[in-house]
Amino acid sequence: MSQSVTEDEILAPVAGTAPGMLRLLVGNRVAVAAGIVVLLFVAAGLLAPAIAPHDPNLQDPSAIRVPPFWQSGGSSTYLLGTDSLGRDLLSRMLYGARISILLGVAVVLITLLVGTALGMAAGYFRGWFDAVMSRVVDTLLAFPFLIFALAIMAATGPNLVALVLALAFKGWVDFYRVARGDVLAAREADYVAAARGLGASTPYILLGEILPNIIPPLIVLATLRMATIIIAEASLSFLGIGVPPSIPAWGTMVSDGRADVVSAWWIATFPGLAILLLVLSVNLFGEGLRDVLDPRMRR
Amino acid sequence: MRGVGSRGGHTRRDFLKRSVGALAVVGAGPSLLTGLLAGCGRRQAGQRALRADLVRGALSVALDADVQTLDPAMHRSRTVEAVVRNVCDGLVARDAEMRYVPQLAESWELEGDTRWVFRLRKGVTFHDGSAFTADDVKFTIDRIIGAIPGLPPSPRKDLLGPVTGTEVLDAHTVAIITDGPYPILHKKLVFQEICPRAYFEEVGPDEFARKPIGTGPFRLVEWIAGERIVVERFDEYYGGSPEVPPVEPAKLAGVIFRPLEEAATRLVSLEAQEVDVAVNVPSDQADRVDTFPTAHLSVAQGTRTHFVGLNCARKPFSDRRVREAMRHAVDPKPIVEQFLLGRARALPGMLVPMAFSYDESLPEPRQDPGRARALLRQAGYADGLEVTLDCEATDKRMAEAIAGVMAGAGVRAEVRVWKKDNLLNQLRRQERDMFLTSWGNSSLDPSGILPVLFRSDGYSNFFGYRNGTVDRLLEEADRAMDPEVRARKYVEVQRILHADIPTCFHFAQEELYGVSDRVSNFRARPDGMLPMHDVSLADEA
Repeated sequence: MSQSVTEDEILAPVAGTAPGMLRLLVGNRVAVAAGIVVLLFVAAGLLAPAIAPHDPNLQDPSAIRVPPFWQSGGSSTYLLGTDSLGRDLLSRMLYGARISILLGVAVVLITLLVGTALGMAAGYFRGWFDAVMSRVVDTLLAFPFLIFALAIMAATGPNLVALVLALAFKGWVDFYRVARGDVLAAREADYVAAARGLGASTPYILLGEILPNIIPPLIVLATLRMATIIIAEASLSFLGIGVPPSIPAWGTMVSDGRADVVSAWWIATFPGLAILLLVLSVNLFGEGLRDVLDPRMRR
Repeated sequence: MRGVGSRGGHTRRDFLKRSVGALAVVGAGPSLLTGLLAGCGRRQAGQRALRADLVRGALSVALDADVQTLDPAMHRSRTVEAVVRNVCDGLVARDAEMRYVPQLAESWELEGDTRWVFRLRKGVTFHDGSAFTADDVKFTIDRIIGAIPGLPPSPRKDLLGPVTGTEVLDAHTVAIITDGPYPILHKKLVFQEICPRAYFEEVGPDEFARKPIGTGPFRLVEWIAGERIVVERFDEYYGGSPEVPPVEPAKLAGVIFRPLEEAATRLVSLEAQEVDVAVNVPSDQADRVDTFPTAHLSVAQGTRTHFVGLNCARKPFSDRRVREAMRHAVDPKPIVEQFLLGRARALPGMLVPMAFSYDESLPEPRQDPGRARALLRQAGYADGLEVTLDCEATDKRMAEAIAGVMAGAGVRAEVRVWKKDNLLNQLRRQERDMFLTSWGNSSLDPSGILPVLFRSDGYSNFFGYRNGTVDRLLEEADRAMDPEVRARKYVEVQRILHADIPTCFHFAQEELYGVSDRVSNFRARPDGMLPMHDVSLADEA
């Protein structure tokens, strides 16, 4: 997915207006539907404490592996059933949305900021900084991400700070490459030359002139990265070294339900579907966004 | 070598087996990487088909772990032991009731307190046709205690305690000498299998680890790592211990052991009749096996004690009142009933009821959240206690259940999951405060569990536990040749441990095996061994 926005996709300064772009986006029905689904997940996560019918960690020993309500043996107390410790699946799913989205946003923001800042600096100033950074980035690109994250998490045990760092460790590289490539092109552009000629300071040129012009592909990339991060978090949690067990997370739930998948399909299936749906929606929305923001895709 | 099988070997059964293997790769979460690696080797292995007669007459066992070696002296793995025990016999063995019976030894007697003389069975041959003699026993014991220069040290050395040497008296008599009295030597010898000196010296340690031979009822045909271990009947077998009839060669044409690490995969394979025996069925899946039309459950009392350990050397558990509060905060009995569906037994202490010197007078634990709160209040935790409960991934569900119940007594326990080895290292450094872990003791003798955990200098004293009286009693018990004296010492240790509370929440799970209905004479055993000598298969209709 990240190949869809590469550094040779050199952008012209943004031509469209905001309302125009919004109209284009609304015209893309798939993207709109995907956006609504994402919003629903975000709402579910934000409102989890208010709308979850049960405490997500409360165990009911008398209700272990209760099936969802439409199956025989199901009950209206536990709409989506319970897991092997008698915890309400629906409540855990809602709280799971919260941690997935929270981690996704946190990691994407960190990587976006770090990657863009370093990329712009390298692209604009070139010189030794660019040379060093580019080698660092090449090294990181050769690094298998999940294995590195596994190593960090195995060493520290599940905790959120380490998890964010493990996920962010390599993520900034994509932003770095896009930002650097675009800045490389932009620094020779007429509008930058004009600003320079008018005596604008370097910080102003970077932040006031160049940044607004290179930000659209970065936003698209951020959206698409978000999906990757959610998957990566779920993978690590599935392996038992992601989110701490006391916080409900979809990956952990899939992992917990794996042993029961034949006898109690709902425990692993619902969180698995949630991961699928959220990641698919984020991706479709991101692609819709790209169609709008990337001039080369514009029809 | 024997691999040139008929094309007819590629049957539907074969195809199914490979599909199950593929399923295992897809389903294997934690072992994702190893699964993928194994998957690479799998295709190659599939090309070498097994002999058709072996496939038909062999029993197939789904193991819960892969093996790293087949050298009887170079592992600490119950899986390796269970496989190797079919290839190599020991001097002493245990029957299904865990009674000690002579195997390659005919009898033994003590000379003084430190010299054990074993008379060996005559006319026994190894799989290469060479005769079994006292020299092989000497070689085996010497190799384990590190008395043979140039060989790597054996991880099984401590299982032989104070054994210092051996002495060949004649071709079929050997003496084993200990440093000081060692009353349980014969019990400990069940963990050591006899290896042939001549063959070992001919092929060297590396080749021996890949293709060991012994005097056992089966001989190794092939071992493909991650895929299968195949053994076939050894027709010249002497018959095994005369106290465990029938005394004759094995009935099965062979046994195929397959490592299927995921429990779900083992059960699916059993249900699909792709394996005949599935080891280590999870407690909460046991009832499912009973619903299979062609398989049933075989149950044995377990010998592994699960427990919550408390670090007596660090706050907050350095205060005995806080430790006692933990005992009252959560009772294993209802948890075991609800979450393990009764497939386990709550224990008052570290020993299982089958164990030597088990103290029946220890009071059963009782849940009393009010008492726990009161104790915590006295200890200065009026607002409740915040702790971390560390465990490894396989214990996560139980740890979460414990944490859930503890909340009722004002203990907020955060569950933290570690990789097994990682946690063990931290425990040995006494870095963790409260942890759910377990200790296997298939010897069923307290010497296999109490000293290592509770002596001040115990190798696995996770608790920072120091009690001079316990140290002294354990030392005395180690040296006492009179079983009754030993038992008294161990009972006293159990009572002190119950008063000091370095551990609480003890339970032992049942050992559950899924067994195909076409298998007869297979019995689940507390020690986890899989002796296939007396097992047979009904012909498939």
